[in-house]
Amino acid sequence: MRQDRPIPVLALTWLELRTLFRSWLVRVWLIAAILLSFVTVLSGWRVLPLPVMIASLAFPFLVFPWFVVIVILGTNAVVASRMDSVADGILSRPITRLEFLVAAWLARTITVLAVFVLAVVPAALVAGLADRPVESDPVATYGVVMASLVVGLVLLGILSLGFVAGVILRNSWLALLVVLFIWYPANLLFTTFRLEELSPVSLNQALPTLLRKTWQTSTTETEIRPKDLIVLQQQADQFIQSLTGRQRRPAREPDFFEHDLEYQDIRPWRVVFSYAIPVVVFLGLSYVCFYFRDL
Amino acid sequence: MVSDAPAIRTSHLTKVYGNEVIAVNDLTFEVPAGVIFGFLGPNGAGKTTTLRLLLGLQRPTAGHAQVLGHDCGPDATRVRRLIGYLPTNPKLPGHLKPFEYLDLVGQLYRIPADVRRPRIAALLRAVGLLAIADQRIGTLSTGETTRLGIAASLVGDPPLLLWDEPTAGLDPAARRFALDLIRELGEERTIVVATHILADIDQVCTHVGVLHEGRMIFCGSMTEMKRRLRGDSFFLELGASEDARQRLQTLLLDLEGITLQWLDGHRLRVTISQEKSRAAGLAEVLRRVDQAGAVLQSIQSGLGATEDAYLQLLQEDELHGFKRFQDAPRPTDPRSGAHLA
Repeated sequence: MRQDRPIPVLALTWLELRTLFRSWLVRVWLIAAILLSFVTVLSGWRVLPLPVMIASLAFPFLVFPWFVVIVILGTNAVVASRMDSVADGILSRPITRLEFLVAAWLARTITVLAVFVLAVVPAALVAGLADRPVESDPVATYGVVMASLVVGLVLLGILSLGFVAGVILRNSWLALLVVLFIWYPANLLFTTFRLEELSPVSLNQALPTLLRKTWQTSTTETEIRPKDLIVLQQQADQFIQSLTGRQRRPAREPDFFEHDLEYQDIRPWRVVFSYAIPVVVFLGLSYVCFYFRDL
Repeated sequence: MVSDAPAIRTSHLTKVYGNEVIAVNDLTFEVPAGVIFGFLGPNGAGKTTTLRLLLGLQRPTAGHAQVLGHDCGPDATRVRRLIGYLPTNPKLPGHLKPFEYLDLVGQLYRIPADVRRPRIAALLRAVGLLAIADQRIGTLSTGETTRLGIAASLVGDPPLLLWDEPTAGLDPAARRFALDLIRELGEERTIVVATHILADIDQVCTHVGVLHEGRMIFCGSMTEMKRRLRGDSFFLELGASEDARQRLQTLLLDLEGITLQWLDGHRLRVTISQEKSRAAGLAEVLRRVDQAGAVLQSIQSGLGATEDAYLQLLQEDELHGFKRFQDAPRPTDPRSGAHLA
């Protein structure tokens, strides 16, 4: 009788997943994310059409504050503080460093996507299925699939960025600081140089448009509705305001990079290309750094 | 041939940290298969670094190492499949329970579940952790964690065990258990025990390698090590009056090939030359002791003095100093064969 031999990567992924879901960070994050989604749905119940509501639900993951949690999850995978137990307990056994890295990354990917799905999908379903006092603005199946793919990829990109920073810098908090100091200013540059498919802020603004797209209209460029932008901007301002306690700023003249809101090219293949390649590069870089490290 | 290969073979293995600290210095040695090899050296001698180089957890600066004929390296899973490693005071995933951790290790060794689970249960029983198998590893004592580490090193049933300080932090009963286990396991596999505790080496090892400042200053059997240093010495403890001592000194004067040295009023070191039979030499000395009217209280063989041997090795290594550099292989011109400056 043939005996099934276990696959080390899956065994390690399972171990990492259990470790993550037993950690206070993931538990608190999951609860807070579900609560925030609930609050978002309630606050936009009478105001936000469904595509904008879904974009608002994705905002904390793509921009702030869950963005920070995703980066932390990435950075704490291969840091000095847990290397002793990893070296003694796992890497001294018959497993390659690549297998360990893949397992650590895979477990975090599953965790991030699971929290996103648990926090956003039920809220979006409630908002979509309920009879709300807003104008009808349905989403298309194609748009939902593509938007899920795009958001999933962006989350992987953010996670992988934290992952590679943690591997290189070996200290979770230092890696987090470096990522934050690089990432937020970089978003301004993305906008300035029309690389908006790399900017989660722009992607978040384009999500309503993407969600409305059908298979037939997928190849045509659809303009982002200015109304969507205004509503999303208000929603984001309100959210930041509630977090920081600051009053809303008076209207101001737009900065030079904000003048021209003609960017519409959030076509899925561009986003896939822009995020899939960095994810592969980040993982490759992590492997090279980890391979040459003494444990 | 892999099957005839020694358990461990290193060639000019060197590890330098950041161009500053030489942890392992041009290490060339072999551990024959089927022995219990004591890896002896003071703290910081490079024992743990050597073991981690063999496991591929660290990369050598120069030289290379083989385990049972396979090259070591970070991705040498074939090598690690042949090794059961026990680190010093092992740091294991604290949130897991002993069974869960051993099950994970078994999966890393790709052992099917129907083989793995009974083996783990047997191992937990063997190391005395069955009663606390439902506790988390983080709550275990040092001794219990070491026992779990021992069990983890045996899950894959590897032919080579690398145990780093297996008795560190253990109470006397646990230490006795560990040493008995090494003796028992040594009957069917190769075991390398890295330690600075001489008594452990003395009790269980058949072969020994002495490491000092990253260099192997002795590698051979235990008997060889003691013999090489204390040679053919015996220590006699005598109860003798002043008269008896005077008579004995006179009687011992004409003995050929035997050197005598009074260590104090009662202890006499008898060194027998290589040409002479140890038994005959000792018999001659004992006959004269009897003739002189001295009372023999004890005889101690110099072969038992591992500590003396070890300390003498370290002392000799310190004294060699510059000679070590002169003896080191120098680069040669490939055309003329002459040494380069």
